[in-house]
Amino acid sequence: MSEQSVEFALGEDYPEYRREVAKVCADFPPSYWEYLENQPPSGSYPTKFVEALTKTGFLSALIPAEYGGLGLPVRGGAAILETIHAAGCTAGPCHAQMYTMGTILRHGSDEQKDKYLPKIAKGDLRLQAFGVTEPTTGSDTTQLKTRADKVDGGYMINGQKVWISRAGHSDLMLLLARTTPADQVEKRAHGVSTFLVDMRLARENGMVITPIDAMINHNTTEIFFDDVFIPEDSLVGQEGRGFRYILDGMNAERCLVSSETIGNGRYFLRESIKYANEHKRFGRPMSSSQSVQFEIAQAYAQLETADLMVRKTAAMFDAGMKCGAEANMSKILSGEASWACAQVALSVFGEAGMGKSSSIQRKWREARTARNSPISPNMVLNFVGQHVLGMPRSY
Amino acid sequence: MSDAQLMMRIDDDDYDEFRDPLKALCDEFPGSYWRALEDKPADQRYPAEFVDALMQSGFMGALIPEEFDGAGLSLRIAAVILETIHSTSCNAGAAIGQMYLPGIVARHGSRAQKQKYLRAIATGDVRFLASAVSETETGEDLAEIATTAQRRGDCYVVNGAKQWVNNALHSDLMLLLARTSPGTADDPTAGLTAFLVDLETAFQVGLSGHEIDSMNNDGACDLVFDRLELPLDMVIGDVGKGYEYYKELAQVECILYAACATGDSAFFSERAVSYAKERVVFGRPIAYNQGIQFPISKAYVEVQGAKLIGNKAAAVYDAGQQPGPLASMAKHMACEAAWQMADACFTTHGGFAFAREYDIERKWRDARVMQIRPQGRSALLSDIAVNDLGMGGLA
Repeated sequence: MSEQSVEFALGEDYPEYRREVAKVCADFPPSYWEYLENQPPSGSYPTKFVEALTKTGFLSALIPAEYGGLGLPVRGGAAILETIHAAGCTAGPCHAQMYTMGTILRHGSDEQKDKYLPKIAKGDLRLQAFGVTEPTTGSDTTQLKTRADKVDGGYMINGQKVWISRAGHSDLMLLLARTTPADQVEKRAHGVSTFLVDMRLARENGMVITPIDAMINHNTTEIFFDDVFIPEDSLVGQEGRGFRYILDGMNAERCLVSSETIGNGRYFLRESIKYANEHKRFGRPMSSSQSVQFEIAQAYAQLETADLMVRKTAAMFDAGMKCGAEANMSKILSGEASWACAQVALSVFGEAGMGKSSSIQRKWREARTARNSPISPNMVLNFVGQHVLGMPRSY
Repeated sequence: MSDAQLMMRIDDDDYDEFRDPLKALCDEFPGSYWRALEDKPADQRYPAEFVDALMQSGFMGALIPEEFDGAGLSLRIAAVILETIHSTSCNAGAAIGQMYLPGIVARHGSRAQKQKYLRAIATGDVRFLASAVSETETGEDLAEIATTAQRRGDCYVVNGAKQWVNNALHSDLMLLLARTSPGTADDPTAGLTAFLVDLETAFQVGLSGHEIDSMNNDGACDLVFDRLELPLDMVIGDVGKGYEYYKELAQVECILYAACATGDSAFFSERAVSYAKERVVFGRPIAYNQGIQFPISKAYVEVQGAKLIGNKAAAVYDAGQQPGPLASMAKHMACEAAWQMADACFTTHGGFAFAREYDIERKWRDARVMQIRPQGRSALLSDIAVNDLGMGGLA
């Protein structure tokens, strides 16, 4: 037997957490989410939902118990997020609270951990923002242009970030910025550093956050830095190593958001099957038609498959194994499976699924964005082609 | 599904102790061996030498209980064996029956049948490679089986015709599903009975058959039963319960064929990647082109997912549970993924895909047929839709 061996549970794992989460979600019916969608950006954040979740402690699932978290493995967090989405709610407005702290946990100083993690675990501090993407970089992250120039007592930040979700509802932000110009480093991935920015102070020091009006209510923003001073102790780990730290956290993130995507798929299937069984067309239940049945069964088979890849990834991550390939594959399989579920749901519901009072259309839009972010499926295919199958780098 | 307690183990490249000797065995039967068979008339295409070698290896007795001299191995290992065979130029179709058909005897046969046959099957002295189920007018609708077995004194007399019976002319034993009484309104599949047929005796009087010339070499035969007499002790289990037994057997069949398809996928991905890396067009290997690389990577991801569902189905079976529609899902996903991989490999090879010496087109034909046989896409999706998701049966 090879050393690369992991074991994971099938079926409803973490049933007690799933039950508790489902109980919270039951208080936030579709009408709650639809109401928020129709608000201007300033009022569209699901504050009550996030507060309710925070109270349960579930958002601190991955923070070790010594810092006041639940100390669950990634799979535990995944089960929680999946349940939220399967219930028709969305964890998007708060899921980053669960995993962004991982970078501090793995690479932060003891002072940083002691200072921030207990407060993050309690929900007193919100670490919801992750400042990586820039308007001109896309997936080519190391081309980032935001600079952190060393000044007396700290760094001066200049530049621009885009698609920074929840920035208006976060106290802290993990920021990636260049500390050494790209032409002075051996590899472009070098010379980039990670900072934990106190956004409450930064706002007073020249950081401007502008909401982006987007197709889903994800509270995403654009952020401008104009000579924003941050103190020296904002630096996480070593200067110039930041890109590595960010990559380290990505596998957990991909695993977790893939679980949400699986949850969405479960939502679509449950609603579609119910609707197709209850509604008659041409004198018999819609679900007797193979055009409906087969499409649902196909989407379900894809979803169950993706679910196993997500479980495998989590098990490998939790066992400290390399799981880049699996995390990437989880992302693409869950995205496609959930999209298949979304498409069939919209077909089964027809016009009834299109109305703004139906969650089908809202979830359908969510399902589509999950195929683009946080990683492009093309980058997944590049990864698999190059690092798993050994083909040349094509980009 | 209540499989919360069930754990699933994943080993990458597990069971090398089975894979390595099998690969060595299969290397003795390269593509040229299989191509030469295809050049022959339909009645001379059986890969007798390959089947002899497999029977001698003992691998085909993997699932037969140890008390009957079988290896008593898990279904997971049986799947590994078939996957390995199919990852080479070989095809297990001519011998695969030996692995799972005896299961119906092991589970439901009489003590005398077990004593008489299982040991000899385990050693390969008796071949149990054929299963006569399908008929011209039945397709997947086995309730329509019209072949009858009527009790006449101390034997059953069989009349009717079966088609697409693999390996009937190269097997000692055959499983026969025939009607002993009419179906009921509640259960149209009642009244079907499973029989063992001793083919050597049967071909002397009462049974005739010939091989069908088809697009792939799977030894399929048309059989005609004309007053074939079967002794009473050739009934398997209870009279009238044949359909039930067959459905059980079909689950194992699905999981094993899924493994074959996954093996094919490994063959295709290996060929596709190596060809893409060496074939130079427009001044560089075509693997640099995302138009070539992405379909290969994408299919590879689907294959990895399908493997997990196959492993899960086998894990459920090995834990003593009925996989039910999960087996259908395993076969469906594995065959769809294999077809995707086959097609990506085909496209990658361009004109050379048609050239027989590459074996791509032969395996590609096999992969397509695997989507139809033994269970077709529609039957598998129906099983999932009706028996797992609770949607309406056919109106």
